[in-house]
Amino acid sequence: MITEKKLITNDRLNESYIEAVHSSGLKIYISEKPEYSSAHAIFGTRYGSIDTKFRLKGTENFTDIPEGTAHFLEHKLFESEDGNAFERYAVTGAYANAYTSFDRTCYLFNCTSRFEENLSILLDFVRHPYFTAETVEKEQGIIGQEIRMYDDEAGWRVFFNLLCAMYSKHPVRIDIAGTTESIAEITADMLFECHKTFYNMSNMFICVAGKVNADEVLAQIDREITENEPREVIRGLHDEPRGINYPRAEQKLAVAKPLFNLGFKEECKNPEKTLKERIETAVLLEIIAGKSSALFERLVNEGLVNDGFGTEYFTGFGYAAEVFDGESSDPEKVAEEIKKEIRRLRENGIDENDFIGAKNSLYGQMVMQYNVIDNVVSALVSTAMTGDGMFDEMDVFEKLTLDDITDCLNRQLLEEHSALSVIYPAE
Amino acid sequence: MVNEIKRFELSDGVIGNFIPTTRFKTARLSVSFYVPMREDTASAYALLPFILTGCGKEYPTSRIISRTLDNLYNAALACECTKMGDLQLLSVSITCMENKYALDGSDIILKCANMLSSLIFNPLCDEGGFEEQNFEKEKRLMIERIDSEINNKRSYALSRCVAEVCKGEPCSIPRYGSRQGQVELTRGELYAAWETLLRTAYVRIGYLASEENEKVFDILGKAFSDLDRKVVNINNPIVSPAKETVSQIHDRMPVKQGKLVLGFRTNIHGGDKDTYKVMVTTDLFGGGPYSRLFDNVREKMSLCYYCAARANRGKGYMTVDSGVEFDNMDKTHNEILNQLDIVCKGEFDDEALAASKRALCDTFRGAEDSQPLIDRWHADRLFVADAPSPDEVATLINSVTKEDVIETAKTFKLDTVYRLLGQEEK
Repeated sequence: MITEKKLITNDRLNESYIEAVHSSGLKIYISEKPEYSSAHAIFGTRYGSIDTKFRLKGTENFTDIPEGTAHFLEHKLFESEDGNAFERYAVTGAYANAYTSFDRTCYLFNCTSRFEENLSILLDFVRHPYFTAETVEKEQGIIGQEIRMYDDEAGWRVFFNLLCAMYSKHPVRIDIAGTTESIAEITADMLFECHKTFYNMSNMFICVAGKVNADEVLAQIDREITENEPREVIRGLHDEPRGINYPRAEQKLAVAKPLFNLGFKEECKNPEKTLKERIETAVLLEIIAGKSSALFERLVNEGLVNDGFGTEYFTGFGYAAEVFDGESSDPEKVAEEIKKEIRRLRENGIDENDFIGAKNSLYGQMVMQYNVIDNVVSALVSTAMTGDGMFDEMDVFEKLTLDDITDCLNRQLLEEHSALSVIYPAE
Repeated sequence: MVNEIKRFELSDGVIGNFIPTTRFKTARLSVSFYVPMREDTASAYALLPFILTGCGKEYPTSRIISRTLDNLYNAALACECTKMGDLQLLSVSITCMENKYALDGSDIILKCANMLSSLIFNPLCDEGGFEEQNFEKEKRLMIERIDSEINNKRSYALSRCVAEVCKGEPCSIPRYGSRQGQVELTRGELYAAWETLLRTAYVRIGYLASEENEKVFDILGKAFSDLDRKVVNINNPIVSPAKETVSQIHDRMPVKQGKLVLGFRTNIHGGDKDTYKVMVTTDLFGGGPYSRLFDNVREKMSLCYYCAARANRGKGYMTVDSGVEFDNMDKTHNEILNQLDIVCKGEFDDEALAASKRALCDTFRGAEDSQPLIDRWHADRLFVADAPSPDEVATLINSVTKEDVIETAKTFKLDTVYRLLGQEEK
């Protein structure tokens, strides 16, 4: 049964979506966009690479599982006893894929016709696992090559090396796919157990956007999803210390020029940052190092970075860090210049025009994301994961003041919690 | 009044192209320059879109450009230098919010059109050519762009193989020209290249928005009509047969995974409808997860994470690329050829063909939901007489038969095998 159905609208954007809950606990989000040709759907679970330690509510002991299990399970769910899900999608012509990140696993499809059939396939294969010792072993070969591929990818390595430098306990430091050794420990039984735990409907969500009729989608979900006893998964905490693990990480790979990531580890008093904290930090990073910043202009003019220089506020359950990344012949100097600019802003204050410029730019980005159906679905997934409404960011944004950003600057980006990761060209 | 796609000549060799798009919150304006790919001009032309969007007389620093864009609600200025067959395609574009979303009611679109026109026609120059400091900066960024192509091993391996397949043809010239060409380029030469580009390139001005706006074309088109233009000839791409002996080339780098790329030639090319047979055949062979290569090389043999076939229909070549263990390279190579042989013998079921057609049609129809893809669709077909619409393409795809696939697959001849190896492997 579908309960708690609500329509949420935003007049300025001329956008709306429906939020509902199925009695199994499954959360549903649908944004109708009848003027588009395609529809996009994601069926996801709050289960990602960081979930290596968990317990069910009502039980006492935590279970530990090998690194890379969530990603392994994602690969394996596409298989069933009589073929794989790709073969079923081949009949409808939809594009299908899946991805695992730190805190979630998402299964998706994109189509311009036969939406109902595609949704049926999605709802079916994700809920019905099928593994044997043989198919698990076969996947170890494929994922082994995926891990190898990332081993050679400098942009990926520089980031994970930074995470290892900043975090000593939290599993965010481990590659999403795990390691060749950790995935060798995975067994079919383990996968069944994880599926039972994390693919309980009360831990899952469905997000749909595009050329669909919301009532029909809700009716279909109601028909196809069966009731299940809700299971509440408690994520294990990892006693991550406030301080960084070590200040410097280096590796050599086949690259033309050094790549760097400078990270500032933030305190996580609560496991998750609020929407306001995330937006404030995004605006702050735009002011410090965005394309319109004095720092970016100076670094480019001095030949220290190129147009690939950028920033990100990387945050999730139990971790948060501002990351500055780019290519440079002198990463140490760039890191020093970034820290100097942060000190300068703390001493002299943020210019009002820089604040307005950054705010306008991010406002434009928010509006434009509604152009692309995939982005709307991603925004709905964020809503499902965080509990913040899709349009809440607009409200937070409008109320944002320069004082908020100044407070944020004084609280965050502390030098003693920073670490630098560099990939140097191999000889 | 219903808006329709319009195509009109604004001045000699300058085509205006209005495409109504009501579903987006943005308008997009793009100016594309089509020039033959040539060794002596490629480097200078490649730098032009970057230097023109980096600053201008009215916007003397990139920070001023950036701030102007922020205050146009994050209007996005972008540029690109790509290859289209044997042509070099240079484009600059601006994407902005439609006027109705502006918080202050301003005409964002006209402001953006004026900005784009100013950047293209009024660059920051002095008597020596492009202003020196900015020229040196953009040149350095370009050299770094070229150098860092090595960072992405998959695309690097692919481009090495394609350059070998098309050796001696214009399209084997790298899209940004050579590194040496960039190093030696002077600001005076770049200025001359800019003047030549404006006078001689074939130009398309694309405008995608909910409403047609003549002023947009006036602003950009007028500047071209004031020039004494003599448009360069655009020839059909050169297509050669496969080499008599397969080229075997490799590079060594300190990598953990090898890359294997097989380059094939086909005698089917150009804008004719036969190219859709190439598209379907390539897809059935190594397109989606229902393809021969995915199903066998990855799923059954567990040799790789990806093994994909892609065709360049205009130039008549096809590539298959995969990331594999060094020790498995020969095995993978043989299996790819074995799978092609199976397609040539017609040992695939009708359902596999139907799956490819459905997936391709779905992809084409879905492209209507992306403004940049719609723009690119029209830019790519500027020289195709009676270019089919996405719907007509779907009809052409659906008309491909099993016999067509067999005959097309038989035309694929192996030309080049490229291997990216570690330091020690044999």
